[in-house]
Parts: sequence; C-alpha cells; structure tokens
Amino acid sequence: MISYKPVDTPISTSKVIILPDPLFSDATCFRQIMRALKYLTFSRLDIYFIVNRVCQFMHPPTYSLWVAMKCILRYLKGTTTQDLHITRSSSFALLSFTDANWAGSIDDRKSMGDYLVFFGQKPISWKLGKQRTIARSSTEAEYKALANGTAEVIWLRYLSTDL
Amino acid sequence: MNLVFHARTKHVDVDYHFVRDRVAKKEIRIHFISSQDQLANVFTKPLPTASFIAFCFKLQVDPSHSA
Repeated sequence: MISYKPVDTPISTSKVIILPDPLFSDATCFRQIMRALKYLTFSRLDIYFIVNRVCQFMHPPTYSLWVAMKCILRYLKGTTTQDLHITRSSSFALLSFTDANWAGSIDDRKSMGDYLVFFGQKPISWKLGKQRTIARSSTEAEYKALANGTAEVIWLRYLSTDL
Repeated sequence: MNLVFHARTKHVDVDYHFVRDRVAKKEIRIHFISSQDQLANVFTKPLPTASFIAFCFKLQVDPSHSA
C-alpha cells in the first residue's frame, strides 16, 4: 500500500457495489482490515458512511469490495493528520441532523436512516443504519429517521441533566 | 389537531405521534434544513470531492491541531 497514490474522497460517486461479483480470495485479511477501519470510525466521521456500506456485504467478501476498501485506505493515506478534535465550547445546545436515503439498500430496497447529534459545535453521537421495515414513501423513511434522531436527542438531554 | 390517521398513512403514525408529542411538550424544536446545510448528507450518499471536503470541515474533522 505504501506506493499507492492518495485520493481526495474515500468513495467514488460513479461506481456502485454490484452483486454478484467474483469472490475475494483472502477473506481473513479483508476482515482484519475492515475491523481496523470500523474502529477508526470512532474518530473519523468522514469514512463512516463508506465503512458502514462495505461492512454490509462482508459475508462473503467480493473483489469489488476489496477495491472499495483499497480506495478508503488510499484516502486515509492522504489525510492521516485529520481527526475529531473536541475543544471547549460556550454553547450547550443539542442539535441533531437526521436524513434518510429512501430505498438506499440496493439488495432489499430498505431505506437507510441516519442521525448526527452535535453538542455545542462538536459531533458527539451519530448512527447510520438500515431501517428494519420497508418504507413505502420517502416521507415515511424521513419520519423514521426523525423519530430515531429525536429519541437520541431526548436520551442525551436526560443524560446531560443527570451529569 | 386531528390525531386520526387514515389507512394509507397508518404505518407512519407511531413515529409521527412520538415526534409530535415531543414538539408539543416543547422538548425539541424541528427545523427544515436545505441539502447544502444538511450535515447528515455525508452519511447517505457518495459526494463529489468539493462538497465532501466542505462537509468534512463542518463536521470538524480537521487537520490535527498541534496540541
């Protein structure tokens, strides 16, 4: 990997993960790297989306996933100095962003929902996941994401009053 | 407010009432966010380089501050 050229974004906007696909031979190596990347998402929100996406197709790993994973590593190579830096903030507002990608999962047409909670100016909680039921409209998918984001904000609110 | 849902939208009602209830209790406030300011956007789809970098900046994933 040392000789690889860095890239600007961890994911290509044109290529999608297509199944079926030839299987990748060294599944153990693939899983070890993905495990490390998953751990890295604690402080790197920028790769959270693509790591989550690749992790959905872990069993069994295919060649196009291996290519997608190498793209993440190339992106990380160019951005090794980035991290999530928590600093003192004067604001104590809890601000949550929620979004949904209707029928975003290409296999089963389930929607992807996510939320991102800021405390003051820094993100403290985020989640991206496939919604359990199939939404029949984009509004429905957005509502589910909104409800999940709301639940998280309310929990964090109780937590902050307890502290 | 009409709290009754009709058959076609019944499946949204639990989430709807949960959120509506919290807004009514003034625990949360809901605002519309345009896609340019929607920080959660970076979690839903692959973005072109320029907007990806802009989002990373807003997410405070900055080049390391030398501590």
